[in-house]
Order: sequence, then structure tokens, then C-alpha cells
Amino acid sequence: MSRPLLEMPRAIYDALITDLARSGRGVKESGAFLLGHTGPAGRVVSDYLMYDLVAPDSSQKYAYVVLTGEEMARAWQHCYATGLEVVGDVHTHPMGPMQSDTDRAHPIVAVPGHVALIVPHFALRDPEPVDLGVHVFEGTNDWRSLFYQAAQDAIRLT
Amino acid sequence: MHKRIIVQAAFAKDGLIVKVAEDLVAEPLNAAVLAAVPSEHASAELLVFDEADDDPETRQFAEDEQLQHGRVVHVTHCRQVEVVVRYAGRKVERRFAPATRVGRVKRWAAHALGINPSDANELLLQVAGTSIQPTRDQHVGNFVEHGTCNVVFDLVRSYTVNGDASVPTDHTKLLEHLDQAPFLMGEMNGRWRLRDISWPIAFIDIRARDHREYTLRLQCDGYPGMPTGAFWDPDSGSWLPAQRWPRAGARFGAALRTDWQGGTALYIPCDRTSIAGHEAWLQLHPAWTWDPNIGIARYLQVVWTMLNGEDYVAPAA
Repeated sequence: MSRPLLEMPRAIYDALITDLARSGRGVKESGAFLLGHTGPAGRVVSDYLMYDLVAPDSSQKYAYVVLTGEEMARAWQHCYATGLEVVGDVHTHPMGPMQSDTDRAHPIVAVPGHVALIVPHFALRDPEPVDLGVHVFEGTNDWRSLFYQAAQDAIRLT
Repeated sequence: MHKRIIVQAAFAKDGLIVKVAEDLVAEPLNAAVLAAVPSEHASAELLVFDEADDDPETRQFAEDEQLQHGRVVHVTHCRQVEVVVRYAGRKVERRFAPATRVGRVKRWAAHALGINPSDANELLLQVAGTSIQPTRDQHVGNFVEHGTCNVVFDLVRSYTVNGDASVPTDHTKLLEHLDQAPFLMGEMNGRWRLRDISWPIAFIDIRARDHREYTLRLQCDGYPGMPTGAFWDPDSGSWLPAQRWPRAGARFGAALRTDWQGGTALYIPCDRTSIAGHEAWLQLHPAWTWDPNIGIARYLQVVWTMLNGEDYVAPAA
């Protein structure tokens, strides 16, 4: 088994899934910045920031994820204030965990190695890492996608 | 003959045009520029920087631009500008000459942050704490914080969209209705709640008078056309057996009959399976007929009404 791409405490994962489902209420997509640090051991998530907190207007207005430049800057300000980095992002889909064309065209962080998770079914079905899509940005609009066992191996819950 | 000088400054972010004699250069030119500074911004500490002196690239730009024999200069009291660019919790810092164009600052920041040039195309710099997104030709010195020689930028994408655009139209329409007042009011009042959607099936729990919850399984393909469905047992993943169906009194006739369609469709006017062949219901029960503008909330309201009347009878099982 290869080294995981993301490490996250189980309690944070469970809270994240609950918040994604609450935010989307089964009728719209929701998402969050995954915050933490990148070190020799990889990307470690220690907190998350829901999109509906930094982008309340866009979250109300659209059934999918939209972030304006100003809303994104609010997240960067939060990182600056907390000393945390964006080590990944997550958003829900109504159906499967595959990337849409817009997902591929709009990396939340355009640095190679960035990890984007997609949670299927609006996060309503108690999804575990094995149910998620794990998409790794490789730069110049390229992505590598992991599903099923590979997705589970990529996310270590501690 | 005159030439035009474009002056950029913190007090003139979009540029002032100053006309000076064609042959004016060096110190006399700078003096003419400073003389044109509005009196409220005039100061003995102000310096003039020629954009073209910033770096070879900018020099090339200045030479190439047909500015009608003009020049772009910057007026400021800062000899250097301390620039911080923040991106996703990381930051990079560097000093720039005040006349450095923002486009060059962005290219430096993207490179320093490890972003490929093609991926950086849609990113732009935004002055931290504001909605100001300078254009590439504006000078970094225009954006120093008042009384300092510092500027903090956030590197952002002007507009980010993530989501699944492949959702079919009927599914999208259902999601829209689930986010509108008729459905949300019922949900907020505890009458019903969305359990799950496994397109084209929506599972919705409806609360009865005795607080029991019944799960409706509604097939919604073709929405906002009529759905069809009946009670469902989420534990076994099958239609609710007849002995566990609720009953309603004579007021609602045979609406909750369990022998209709094998218990897979409610016998009501807003069910697409049941309305077929029963078009007379449209006149007999207009309040129970389907309204595509209200959508699924109409179906739920009809069922909730049956389960919350005085003649509601809970199943024995």
C-alpha cells in the first residue's frame, strides 16, 4: 500500500461529512477547504472551513459551488489568521464522485499535488473514504483520479 | 510639440495625463511631473520613477508601447515596496520598485508558489481586505497601505465553479423545488423531511398525527411532471407491506388502498400512475391535482393531510 495523500482525524472526518450534508440538505452541493499542514509525512488535515461560511451569498444563490475572488480571499485571510494551509478541498455531488468538466477546469488551489475530494449523494449516505473520489491536481489542467480501494488508501483516518 | 506622460500613484491609481514639452528629459521632466501633482498630495518627499527603469522586461514594454512618444512614470515617497502575496495559507514576499506593473508581480508570485504559468492564467491579485483587483498594467506602488510602503495581495481566481453540471434537467428541477418555500416550509414545520435521492427516486419521510414517520418512495423521472410512488420500508429496502400501511377514513375514500398497483402507487390525483384513466378526478378533487409550479410539495401535502386527519388510523403492526 502506498503512502496516504491525506491524513485526517476520524472525528474531523465525521464532523465534515455531517456539515456537508447539513449544508446541502440533500438538494444542493456543498464544500469546504481542508486546512492543516504539509510536512514530510504528507498532508495532514486538522480543521476545515465550510464554503457557506466564507461564501454565504454564493452558497444561497447556486445549487453548486461558486466562489468569487472576494470569497476566496476571505478563506486566505482565515488561513493567515490561523496559520493553517489549504491542504485539500472537498465538495459534494448529487450522484457520483467523478469530476465534472468544471471541477477539472477550476482547481481550488492550482499547485501540483493539491488534493480535491468529491463526496457522492450530497454526503447523505454516511460515506466512508472508499466511497469518495480523490482527485490529485498534477498541473497544466491534468488530474489523477482515485476511486474505491485506491481512494481508501489515499485517505488515512486517524 | 508635446509628449504625454502617464503618472501613476497611490492617489492616481488609474493614471493622470501630464503634457510636457517634447524635448524635456531627466530632472526637468521629473520637476514638471511633480509640479502637476495635485496640491493635496504634493510633498517634498515625492520621487519620480520611470516604469521603463524597473527591469529589462519592462524596458522592452516601454519601448514597444506606442504611447505617442510618452512615458509611464510613478510618483511616490517609497523607494521600494514590500510585497506579500498570500495563497491558500502560504505566502511569498519580495521587494519591488514602486513602478513595477502588477502583471509582473503576479507572474513572480505564481512562479514562487509553484503554479504553472498556464494554470496561473485565470488567477489574479486582489488587494487584501478589499475587492480591488488591479489590472496588469497598474503599478504595485499604487496599492501601498496608507502611510507605509507595504502591500498585501491575495492571489485568487476571479470566479471558481465546482459541481456536477451533468445532472439531468428533471433532477435539477426537483432539486430546485426542494429548495423552495412550499417544500421548505413543510420541512421546517416538521411535516416531512428529505431522506435521500437516488435518482430518479426520492425518499421522503412524512410525519403522521401520532408522530410515526412513513417513508414515501417517489419516482420522479420527467419532473416537474407528476411523480409516482407509495410507502417504502427503508430498513428492508422494499415496498411497505400492506399490514403496515396507515389508514384514512371515508373522507379520503380509497386513497390509501393497498391493493392498487400492488402497493406501489398511491390512489390519488397527483400520482401519475393513478391519474391515468381517472381524469375525472381533476374536476372532483382540484385541490389534490398536480401543480408543476408547486411540484413535489403538492404530493407531500396531500399525503400529510391524510396522515394527520382525525380519522387517521395507525397500522396495528
